[in-house]
Amino acid sequence: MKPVFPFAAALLSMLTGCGPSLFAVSTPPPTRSGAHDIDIFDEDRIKLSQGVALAFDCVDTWTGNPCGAASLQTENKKIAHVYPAFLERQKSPWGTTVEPRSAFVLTGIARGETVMTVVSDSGTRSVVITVE
Amino acid sequence: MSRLGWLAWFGWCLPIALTGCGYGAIGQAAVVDDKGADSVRSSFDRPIAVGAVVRPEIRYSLRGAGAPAMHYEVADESVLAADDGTIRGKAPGLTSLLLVSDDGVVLDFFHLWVKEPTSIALGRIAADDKRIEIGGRVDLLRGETMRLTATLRGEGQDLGGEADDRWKMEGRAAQILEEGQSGRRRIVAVEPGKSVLEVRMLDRIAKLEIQVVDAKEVVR
Repeated sequence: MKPVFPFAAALLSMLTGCGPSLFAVSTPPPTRSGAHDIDIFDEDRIKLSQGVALAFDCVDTWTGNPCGAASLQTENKKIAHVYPAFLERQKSPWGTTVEPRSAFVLTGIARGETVMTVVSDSGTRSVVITVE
Repeated sequence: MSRLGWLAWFGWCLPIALTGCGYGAIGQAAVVDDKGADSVRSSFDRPIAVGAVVRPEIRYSLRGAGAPAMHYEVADESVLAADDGTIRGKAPGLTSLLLVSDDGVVLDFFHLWVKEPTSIALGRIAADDKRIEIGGRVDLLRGETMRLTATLRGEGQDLGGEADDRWKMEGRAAQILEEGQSGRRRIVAVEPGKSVLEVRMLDRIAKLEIQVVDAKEVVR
């Protein structure tokens, strides 16, 4: 392996903060919005309509494993509320093991903007939530 | 999103998409509706009427686990209210209904619409328990019975939920018998003549004229 690769990975890791990544695993209902704009170099943004719920998987950005010891909270629970969620365990991409998943459900309570903070073993990620 | 962002997305999402399973919101619960399509105790296959109550029966699909101890929570409480295993339509709109375990973990969720009722639809319950919509006037032979159901409608669309209903018969030609279930009654033709059935639900009214005739008159 060329010596430049670990250096580049370390640099990239520093740039991106090496935090957890979120992936939506449900869709909004017809006529309502629920969009997740992923930006690994900055804060993610989630826009959702009032009353809508979206489920997310939380994974470590670099390993792809489920987030370890993840905790989530929103700054203003009157705008958006986040719950831990149970998602059935899934087989690993190679089909050899069954892994637990780290998941949560975000609900839009009232119109406004707030920030959700995701803390896991792999770091911290802030997500700007807009309820419209 | 940057090129690296897309790379990361494909790297992580493709395996998840290929190995993931599910249907519905997160595919771990379904609403059981074994009460028949004509029932006012419907589940989530239609919007819930403002003022009506639904008692959903939930069936879980959790491998290796029975039904967890759970309760309902609602995202927008101005639209729906959840209490003691029932949900009640409060105002027109949409909200998510969350199935939350008693230790605070979401097991699944549904998006539900609530709609203002504008009318009542009367239906005759056929022998196969299907609803045949009726209106205006029906003729019955003396001694004949007819099972009726009343369903709330919003701009022509059937709405779900149980609501307080009042059934009243004007005239002595026909009588109302209780069926022990909200929104359903049996009508018995007692004597030749005309009666008018009036059904009230959530301030909406439906009327049906019932003409009772003797079999001899029909033969003539």
